[in-house]
Formats: sequence, structure tokens, C-alpha cells
Amino acid sequence: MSARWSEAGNGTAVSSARRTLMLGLLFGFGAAMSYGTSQVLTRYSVSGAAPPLVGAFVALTWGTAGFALMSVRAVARAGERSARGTLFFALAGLFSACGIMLMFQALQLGEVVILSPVLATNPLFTLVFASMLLRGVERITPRIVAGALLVVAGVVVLTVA
Amino acid sequence: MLAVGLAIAAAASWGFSAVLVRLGLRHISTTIGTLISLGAGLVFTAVLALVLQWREVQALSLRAVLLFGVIGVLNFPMGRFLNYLAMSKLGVGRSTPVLASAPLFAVLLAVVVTGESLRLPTLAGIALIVSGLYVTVTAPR
Repeated sequence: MSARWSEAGNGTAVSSARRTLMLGLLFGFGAAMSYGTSQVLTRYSVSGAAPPLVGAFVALTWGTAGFALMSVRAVARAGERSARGTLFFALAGLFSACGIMLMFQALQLGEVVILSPVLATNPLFTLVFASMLLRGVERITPRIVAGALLVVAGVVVLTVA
Repeated sequence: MLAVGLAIAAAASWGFSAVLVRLGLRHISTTIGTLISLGAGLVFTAVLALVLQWREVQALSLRAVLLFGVIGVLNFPMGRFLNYLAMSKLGVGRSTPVLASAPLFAVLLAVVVTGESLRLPTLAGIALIVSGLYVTVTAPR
């Protein structure tokens, strides 16, 4: 009886893990598609319309306003207060914005052909930082590193092709 | 050389940002976290743009404002929020390579919409990305 319960429990756990994986992939590919589409739009419609810093400011203003409107109810419902969580996300936003500014500066000084492959290596930095700072939270396996290396190599080939 | 150094710093900043998000997701929800990160990024960018390029901000055309608006909505409420959701479900190790495949979608879209042709190096890049995604996604948890 207990073995049957245990089997049923395992089955539920496996299907729940599979569902989480599928949802995660759906969200991940959705994000990649959004970023990919905005890259094409940037390349074909707004390059030259404004300096990159101004463009980033306007895009971020629209994006933040849009997201704030979309999440009004979730924010009102959320009773969560976490200074640590707020700090991590605020720093994440700052580092992300810093990255954009540094990229613009780099692109003003150097050639896209040389810089694009360098910029594409950011997943490898993520894995290095994750292995240092996420011990006990997440396991970065050799297989995940191998997958990231292949993706980065592919992106490098695409950007210089 | 300076340009390469700045590009490395940019890549490292994005990499560090992803790990900070993963740490933040242990404390607050994806929605609130996305809003906080967008707000912090906006304040930083706004200060720089308004101080350093005020004239250029004033000279923006309505068309440019609207086009940047479309890009902003694609990048931030959609791209960033979905990215953080993926991180919360897959972890940073698995979601990062998935997100890094964005240029693949840019290439496919360029082929479909603008009629760009697929050359051999592009196909090789696509093959590498797809195999990397397969290796990452099928990695045991």
C-alpha cells in the first residue's frame, strides 16, 4: 500500500517537474523571441533616430510605464516586504542598465564585428558568477556549461556571419 | 583595446545581473522583482540621458518616441518579465542559454520579414545554437 502511494507520489513529482520545465522553456523562448524581435526592429527602424542612450531612456520609460500598468493589481495584492529581495532586484536593474551603457560606449569606440562576439559571451559570465554565488541554490553542471558554450559559439558565428 | 574591455565589462554586468535576479527570486515574486529592476534601471538611465544628452532628448521626433515605445514594450514588460519567469522555473544555469538564443529568432525574423538569405555560416550558427539548447535542456536536474 505504502509502495503504491510512493509510486503515485513519484509520478506526481515527475509530472510536476516536467510541467515546470515546459513552462520555463516557454517563458525562456518567449523572452528570447521578444528580444530577437526588438533587435530586428532596432536594426531596421530606429538606428540613427536618436543616440543610443536617449533611445534606451525612452524605451525603458515606455517599458516601465507599461509594466507598472500591467502589474498594478499584482502589486496591490502582494503583501510581501523583503528588503533583501528589493536590494537584489534593484542592483540587478542597475547592473543591467550599466551593461547597456557600457555596450554603447564600446560600440562608439570599436567595431561591431569585433565587439558583438565579446558581448555574446555574457551567458558564460552568468555561469561563472552563479557557480561562485549560488552554491547551495543551484548546481552548474559540466553539461550546462557545455550547452552554454555551444549556444555562445553559435551566437558568435551568427554575429560575424 | 578599450572598446573590448568595455564590451567585456558589459557582458560581465549582464552576467552578474542574472545571478542577482536569481538571488532576489528567493525573497520576492517575479512581478514585483521585475518592477523594481525596471525602476532602478530607469532612474539610472534617465539621470545619464537627461544630464548628458538633454538636447537630444528634446529633439526627439514623435515617430522615434513611438518606435522606441514598441521596442521598450517588447524588451521590458515582455522580454524581461518572461526572462525572470524562466529563471524562476529553470534556474539561472538553464535559462541563460535559452535566453542567449535571441539572435537566432532575430535571424529567423529577418529571413521571414525582410527576405534576408540564409548563408552557410548562418546555418552553422543556427545548428550550434540548437545543439547547445538541446544539451542544456536535456541536462539532468
